[in-house]
Amino acid sequence: MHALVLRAWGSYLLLFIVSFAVMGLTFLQRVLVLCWLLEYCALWVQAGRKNWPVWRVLVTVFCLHGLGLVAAGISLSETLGPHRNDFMSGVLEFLYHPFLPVFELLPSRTVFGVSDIYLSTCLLPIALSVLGIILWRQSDGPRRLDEAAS
Amino acid sequence: MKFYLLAHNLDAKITGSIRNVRGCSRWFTVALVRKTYLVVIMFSLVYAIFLHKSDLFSPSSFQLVESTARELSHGHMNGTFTGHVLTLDERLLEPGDILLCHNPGGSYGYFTHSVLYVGKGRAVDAFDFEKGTKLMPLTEYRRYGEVDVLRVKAHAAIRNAAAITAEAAAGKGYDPFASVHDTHTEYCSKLIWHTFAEQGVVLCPAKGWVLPDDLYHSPVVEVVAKWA
Repeated sequence: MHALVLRAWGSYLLLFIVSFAVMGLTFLQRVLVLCWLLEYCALWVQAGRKNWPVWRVLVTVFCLHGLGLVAAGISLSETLGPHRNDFMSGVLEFLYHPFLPVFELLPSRTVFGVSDIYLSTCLLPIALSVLGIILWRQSDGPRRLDEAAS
Repeated sequence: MKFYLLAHNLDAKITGSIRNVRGCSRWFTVALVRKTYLVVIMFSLVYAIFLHKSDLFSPSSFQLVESTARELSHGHMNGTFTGHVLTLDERLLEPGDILLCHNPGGSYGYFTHSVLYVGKGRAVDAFDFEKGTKLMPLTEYRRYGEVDVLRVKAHAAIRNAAAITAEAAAGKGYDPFASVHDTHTEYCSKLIWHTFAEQGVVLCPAKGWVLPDDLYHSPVVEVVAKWA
């Protein structure tokens, strides 16, 4: 579990830094995000081959995306609530800025009074968590079939 | 019966072989993906540093990042609001005027925010990650410590056209990390730079980030009012 968390955070840190370095090269930024997503999927596929209980998977997901989930939750509640504080929105934007060149491909519009880029950023940690769990389940399938056959 | 057992054993061996091949192909794919990611990262870094000569690695960028990080502890990047309330005289404004706002303790220069006046007491403001670029009433800027009004030295028709272009940009997303040439998203000073660039007026050289101070020092603008 530690290896997967460290590798995922390490690869994201690389993406984070390089995305800043190639600012201005939007196409390259999008390619980097795509490569990171493939890397992320590969890490979860590897995790699926190990004998992990469900609680371990959930803890891993929280270690990877807990910060983003908390920031998105607080940011949404403050945006839609009466007392406005931009701090968590800033944290969310800073944390997921490599994905903004991809989200800006969405048509420029507001949904429920907020920017679609902002909503996409809030949903991103949830989407990544679900993706990881699905890939773990799919990769765990063949091992379970082997055990059932034997 | 023997034939059935033979067929069953053969089927089990083939299935097992397929699973082994799948396992090997999965391992190979995972390894290939991971190596590809590292190669793309290295290529991007080399390209950014040596070929593209990214603005991120300039001394001014490091200073900007350092000062911004210091101010982020306040939760915002537009200085300290002192509670002072300015009186803004809308009669002095024309569509296409640039309003530069100052607060003490700003991280990226003297002026911490900029908006474009589009008439009828409204300004186009690109400062909100949640709501993107939007139209705001002028009263929103009374809370700043100082507001300077810049007028571009161009025909009124050009300034009007810039105001109309800016108003049409309402709804675009906000991204302070995007390149100045990226038109999908905006931030305050970049929006103003874009709208005038589309009218053929270049306010300042296009570099990594266009800051409100860059607009103030533009040779094609003049200060027409100052409220403090």
